[in-house]
This record gives sequence, C-alpha cells and structure tokens, in this order.
Amino acid sequence: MSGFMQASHVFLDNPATTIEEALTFLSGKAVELGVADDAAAVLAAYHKREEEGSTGMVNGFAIPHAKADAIKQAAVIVVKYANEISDWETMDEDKITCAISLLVPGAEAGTTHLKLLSKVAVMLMQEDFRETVKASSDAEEIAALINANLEDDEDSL
Amino acid sequence: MKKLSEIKVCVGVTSCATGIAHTYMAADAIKKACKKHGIKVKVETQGAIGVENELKPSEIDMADLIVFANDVQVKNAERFHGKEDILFTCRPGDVIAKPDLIFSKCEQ
Repeated sequence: MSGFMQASHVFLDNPATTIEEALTFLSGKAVELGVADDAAAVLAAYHKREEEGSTGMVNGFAIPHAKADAIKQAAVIVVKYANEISDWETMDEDKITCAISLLVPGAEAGTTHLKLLSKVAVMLMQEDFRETVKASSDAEEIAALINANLEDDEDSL
Repeated sequence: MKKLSEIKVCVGVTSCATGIAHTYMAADAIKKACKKHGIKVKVETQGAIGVENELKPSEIDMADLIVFANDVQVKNAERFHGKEDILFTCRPGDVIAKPDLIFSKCEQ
C-alpha cells in the first residue's frame, strides 16, 4: 500500500490560471499516466461534479473528482499551481493554489481503492497536512506524505 | 433543539453525489466539532462503498443531536422519525466549511 501515491502523479509549478485549464490538464494527465483511456470523458466527469457544487475548499485547496467508465484504476493526481486559479469557487476567501484530484473508476470499482481515495479526501481536513503540502516543492515528499497518512489506520473510516 | 451544554451524544449521517470525498470530509468535520465540545459522536457514512458505521436504533435513541449532512437522500431515514426536534440538516460542504454550524440551531 505504501506505493499507492507515486511522485509521477505530482505536478509542480503548473501554469493553469482557470478552472477549465486545470481540469483539462488533469484529464490529459490521467490518460498519459495510464489511469484513464479517454481524456474527454474524464473532463466531462470533472465538469459534472463541479456543476453539482464547487470542489474548492479552504486554504487554497480543491478536491476535483471524476467518476467515469473511462477511468480504469483509482488514482490521485496532485497539482500545485504557479499562480492562483482565478475562477474556482472556494469555501473561504483564498484562491485555489493546489488541487488534489481523485479519479474514480466507473463500474466494478474495488472497495479497497475507493477507501484509499476517501482517506486522501479526509487528509485535506487536517491543517498540518495542508500546510506541509503547501510548503513543499518536492514531488517525492508530497507522495510520501500521502502514503504515510494512508498507512495510518488509527482513525479508519 | 437542546442547549449546546446539554448535548452529550451526537449522531450524524453524511452522503454526497459521488460518495468518495465530501461524505467522509463532512463526517470528519462533525466528529471534530463534537470532540472539541466533549460530545460523544458517531457518524454513519453512506458513500460509494456502501454504508459504514451504521447507526443502531439504540444509538439514535441516545442522541441529543442528530446531524444530516447530505447532497443525496438519506438511506433508511425512517430510523429518525419522531426525532425532528433534535435534527439539524445541512449540506456536506456547509459543515466542512464551518463545522460548528451543527450547533447553530441549539438554544442559547
């Protein structure tokens, strides 16, 4: 389980400045990383979720997620932006500077991996987790932090 | 709705459209808000992997406060019939943004 989150899924200094650019980048990377096989379908799933309510949270974090048959494996992609995302609605006054994205397979998704995705979501509720990700400019470090938190089963859901 | 100081036990039910993120973040927010006030808490999550931490009738009976944080219909809501006077209803995003919101209807 220690290898669920890989440094190859962490992207730093991304130039996106709009939610459209951010979601398009995530969709493209999902295919490049072999997580999904249809970027357009993934993008549509991201949009569908944002239309139900923004996934922008607090402290500059967003948790965009997509569930689609085009997604072949559960995965997390982290993107830190070089600039603020101007049009991503948040729960506080902060503009989005980091996205932690969950990619959810459509049918027949295994429970184990869905649980991992949910645990990553709950990590975002921890201020010290958010601060560490915010301060880091090291993909390996961010991946290791997420993996370490996944292994900590103290407060299992 | 009881006074905050009279609330000893809180139970909650969370769910969201995808059942992956906000269901569990909202559960975390409710638990943190309760623990901060020394309130015993159990939250049932109705997510993509199914119902977890299912609330027993006896636990619902013990509750001084019931919190529904849902974007989709609560499953087995009939368990809570007759408890409307202690029921606080919101969206998962509301309680994630402001966990103490669950006490906003409590008597002063």
